[in-house]
Amino acid sequence: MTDAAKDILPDSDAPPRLAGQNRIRLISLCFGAAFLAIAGQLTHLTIFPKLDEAPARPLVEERLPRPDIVDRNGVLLATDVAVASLYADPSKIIDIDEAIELLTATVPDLDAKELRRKLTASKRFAWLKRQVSIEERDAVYNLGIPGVGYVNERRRVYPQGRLGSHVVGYVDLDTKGIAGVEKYLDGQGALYTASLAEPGEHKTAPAQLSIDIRVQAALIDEVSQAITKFSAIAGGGIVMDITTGEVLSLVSLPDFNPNQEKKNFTKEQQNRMTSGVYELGSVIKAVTFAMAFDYGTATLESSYDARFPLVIGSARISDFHAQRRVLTVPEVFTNSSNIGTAKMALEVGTQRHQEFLKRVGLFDKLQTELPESARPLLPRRWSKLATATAAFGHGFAVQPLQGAAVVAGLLNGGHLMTPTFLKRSEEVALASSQTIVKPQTSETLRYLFRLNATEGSASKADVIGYRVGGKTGTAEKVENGRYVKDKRLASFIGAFPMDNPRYLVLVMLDEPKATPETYGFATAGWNAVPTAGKIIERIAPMLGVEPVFTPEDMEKLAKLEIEEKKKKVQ
Amino acid sequence: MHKFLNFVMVVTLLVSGFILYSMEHTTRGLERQIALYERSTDEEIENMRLLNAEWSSLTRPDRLRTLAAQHLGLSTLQAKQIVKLDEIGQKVPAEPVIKLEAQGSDPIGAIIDQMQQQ
Repeated sequence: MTDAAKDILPDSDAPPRLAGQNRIRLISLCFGAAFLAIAGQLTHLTIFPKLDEAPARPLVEERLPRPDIVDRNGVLLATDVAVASLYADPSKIIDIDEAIELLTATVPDLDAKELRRKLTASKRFAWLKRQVSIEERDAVYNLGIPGVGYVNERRRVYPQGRLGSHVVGYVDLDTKGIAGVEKYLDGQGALYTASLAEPGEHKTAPAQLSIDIRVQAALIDEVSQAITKFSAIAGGGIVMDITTGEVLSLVSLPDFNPNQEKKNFTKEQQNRMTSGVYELGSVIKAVTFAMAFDYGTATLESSYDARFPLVIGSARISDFHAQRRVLTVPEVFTNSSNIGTAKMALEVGTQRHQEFLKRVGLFDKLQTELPESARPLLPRRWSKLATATAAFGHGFAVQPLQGAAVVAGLLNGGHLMTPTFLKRSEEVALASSQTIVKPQTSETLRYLFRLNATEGSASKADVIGYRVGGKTGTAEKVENGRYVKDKRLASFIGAFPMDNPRYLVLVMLDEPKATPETYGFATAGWNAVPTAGKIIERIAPMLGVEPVFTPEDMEKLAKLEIEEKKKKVQ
Repeated sequence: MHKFLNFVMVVTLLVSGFILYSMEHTTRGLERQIALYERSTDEEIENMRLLNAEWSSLTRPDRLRTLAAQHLGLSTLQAKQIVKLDEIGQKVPAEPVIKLEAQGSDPIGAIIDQMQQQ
């Protein structure tokens, strides 16, 4: 040992003491504390596991599934089903010929030429076929072709097919809403869609529509039969619950099948009930009558001179079924006298007429959940003549749905409601409604509607027992700014049961032709009205309307039965 | 003394290690099982969606109407056919109007028989 070393080493008689012993103690204390902490935490976690904070699976950031769409009774109208989309990476495929042979044998509707073009392209990615069924996907997967793969996707299907076409609408390949309620769910109604999501779960509740698919089927069936029978170019219908403003059914023909692969629908297939505007003709007289009653310028006892055509400036207003006598107000309604109605409107005055039309909303665009909606076409200058013609529905055109909504408001006691395609309750509807006429006016109008069905132009819609009331309209169509005599738009708007109206029915036929059965007539009373009658006969039992028979009804029924028996004998 | 303590410690270590690993093993097994069940639940849900869609498509009102008219001879319900419950006594005929079985024609039964034979 050197002297230098001796200096450092402690004396042999001194107690053995390692250098830095305190430091070691400190470190072991630290380690001990750390281990204790870990052990403590472990025990704690084992005894009180925090399950809620730790998800079992990592949450995948994914869009919420698109809500199903169901009708008011819960019948499925639109849903998502699992499908797969097949793709290929052409550079990885070894034997293209073999691949094509195998693929076309497994997926029958793959085109061999198209497939060859895709697989020989110098891209790294090509869709082979989008949205194939799960069975097809598995079959292709089992072929084991290198470079061919799939992604799982969802496909929107519409089990009710064309029954829901215009209301439900449809989506594109990337399940983005393109039309109808489907578009509403993505656009305007995004808030509504979000409210359907169930918190914490990867699920959404279905969107419930106001549509009743059974009523919809009956309406489509009857309107399409009427179109064939009267060789009309198009047609449509609406059934509405006037106490809630819910649309139970909306049909526009020609329609389409939303399941169609290529959605190249033509303009002919558009929704005429909301995206088209039409001069509804005499149906609008109901509005004029309500206005005159509400301002008190006419009562049921008033009468109007309809002996001569009404001359305003250079224009002459005459009646279709000229009576050439003085008509009482109920007669003006049942004979659908243009002269009488124009005089009623002129009595009210141009200014107040405009005010009233504004009040019932006929000046504004009606916007429902359906994105397809058209603005009304109004006269540019509101002159005396415009008032007189607008009184019987000439010179201004509205969406048929808007016409239905206004008549519904006039008949339900004066509560104008924006029609809806989503289910809602009466309280909600009433809270958001606007009062447009006095209840008394509504009562009088109901009387006139019922009268018109028992002895007026709408008598062919009076299904015995269901107390139907209605107003017909036959408007000449406007082409290039002129009225065309033999191109007509026949419409009917009515409600039942009239003692306490609940359901409104609108039927519209575009250019119906006369048939031998109608004795050469092509006016609404001969085509739209009987169609409405058939519709009411079919839908009233579905909607739970109880038939009531008066003694006169029983007589009528007995007569009908005798006639039927005679026919059978012959 | 020290030796004994060390021995106990080592044994404890081994035993606790064994317990830990076996627990982990069963947990993994359970997790696999959960994943399996979840996948089959998802599959069943998908199946249900598909079947719901199919059911809805098969019970389309227009389709049912055609079938009812074709096979059962049914037609639109008329108002006069609806009778109130308290009036039903007056409307029921004493003898059934059509005795299906006596006539040997039971349309629904015939359809069922036909389906069973196939």
